[in-house]
Amino acid sequence: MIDRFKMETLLLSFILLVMGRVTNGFLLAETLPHEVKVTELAKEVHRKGWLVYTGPSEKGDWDLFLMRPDGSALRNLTHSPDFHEIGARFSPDGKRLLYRRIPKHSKVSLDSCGTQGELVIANSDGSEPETPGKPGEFPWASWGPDGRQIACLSKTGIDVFDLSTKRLLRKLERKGIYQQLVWSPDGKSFCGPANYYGEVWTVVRMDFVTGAVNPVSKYQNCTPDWFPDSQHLIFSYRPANQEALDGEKKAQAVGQKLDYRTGAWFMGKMAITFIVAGFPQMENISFLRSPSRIWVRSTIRSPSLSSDFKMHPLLLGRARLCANCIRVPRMVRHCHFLRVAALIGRVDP
Amino acid sequence: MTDPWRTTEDRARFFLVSWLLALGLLAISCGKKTDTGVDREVRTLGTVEVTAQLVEIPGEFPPNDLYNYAYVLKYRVLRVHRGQVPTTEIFVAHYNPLKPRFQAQDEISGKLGGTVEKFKAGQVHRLALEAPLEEHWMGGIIDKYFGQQGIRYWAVWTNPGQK
Repeated sequence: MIDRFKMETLLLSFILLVMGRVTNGFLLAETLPHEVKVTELAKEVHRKGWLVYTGPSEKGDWDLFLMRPDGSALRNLTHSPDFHEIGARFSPDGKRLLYRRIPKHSKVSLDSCGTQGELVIANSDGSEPETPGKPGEFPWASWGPDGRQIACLSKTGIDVFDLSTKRLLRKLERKGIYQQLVWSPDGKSFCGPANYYGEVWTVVRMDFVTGAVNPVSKYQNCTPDWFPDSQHLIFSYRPANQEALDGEKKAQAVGQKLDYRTGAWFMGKMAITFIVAGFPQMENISFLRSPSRIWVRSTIRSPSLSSDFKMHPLLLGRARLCANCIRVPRMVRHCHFLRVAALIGRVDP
Repeated sequence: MTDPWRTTEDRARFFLVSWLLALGLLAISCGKKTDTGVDREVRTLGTVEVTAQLVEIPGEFPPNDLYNYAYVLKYRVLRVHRGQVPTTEIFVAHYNPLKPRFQAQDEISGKLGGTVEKFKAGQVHRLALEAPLEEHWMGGIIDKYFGQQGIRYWAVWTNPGQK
């Protein structure tokens, strides 16, 4: 009897030992060395388009910079010591940029940055900048699907303009959207943070034809942007009581308040997410915190908030990599302190 | 014994004291006026002016460390001084209500202010208002009364009022 008990104990121990080894081996196999991941990612994304973003120049203002997604081939596009340039976005064909140019003495406000200064349309290499309007005009401008129209957001609604003639083509109610308007690549929808059913910072989708609005994610969401398929959005989501994976070290390193955890996320045509942080002259500097903070939800097939949640598998994979990419030295220098403010375009200036 | 009113100097002193007294009374009188919530701004800004009682504060005002917002509060209208108000209960959005009204105005709010320092349920306010809200404020609106019908007003000027 005792022998049988001993045998059973030994067998159980053996099974547990094997299970432990297998689990351990599995986990170890999943954990690639960090530097390897970074190198792989840098190689993978190097030629996948360009990023344009706002960054500090040597003369103390904020200029537009262009770089490869791995941080290489960095160059200043604007060289404008008397102005800040912010909010740059590539046109759908990647050949042009729109952004706002703000006098250097102005304080940039996150809530109104899309209305400050002048709208500028330029080639994607920064050449031939033109200002289609006066300061304050064409607020929160967003490219239309063919690059010939822009949609703007003001208190009175959403206005669609022909870019060459500046003629107002259409006017829609804004249905609570109050900033960060983005027109979808297929031209069928808008997105933006909105007041919706009494909730602030609800990311909504608006149908271009009917003006109907449906919520995508309620409360504490911002900076939405479209996937190339126009069926998904990517945005910053800031739930209450989120944990700090790095122990808030990055935030503390620049004197950031621990509660400030917002971030902006942008999705490019090549399925690469990118990272934010901070804003010119803002005290609040935000950091990438966790890849799990990237949330993607279907915008059209999902009337219910609770049941529509869906993590996009491709994005999730990329997002994990991108969580590491901020450690690429050049990106550390820029991404930690800047807001990366454009889609990755299929542009090769 | 000499008459104290005889000399020019004495008369001048008398008139000076009288004037100072009159000015003091005037100042007190003006001070009382402020207590009723009446000042130039509340009388002239916005399209509607009411004296109204703050019915309640639904929930807590969020801090302003991240975002600016407007918070909708419910008032019972006691008197309409200017404009037309179709209902006795109105919904008024206050910009960043944690801040004293005289500190609330900023570059995105447009002109607003007043002398109310803190919002408490039951207070009576003299309000200068605009409507509809969406035409005067493009930003976050926390509206706990969302399901309830009624015009949402934008509070331009908010002073303490009297019942």
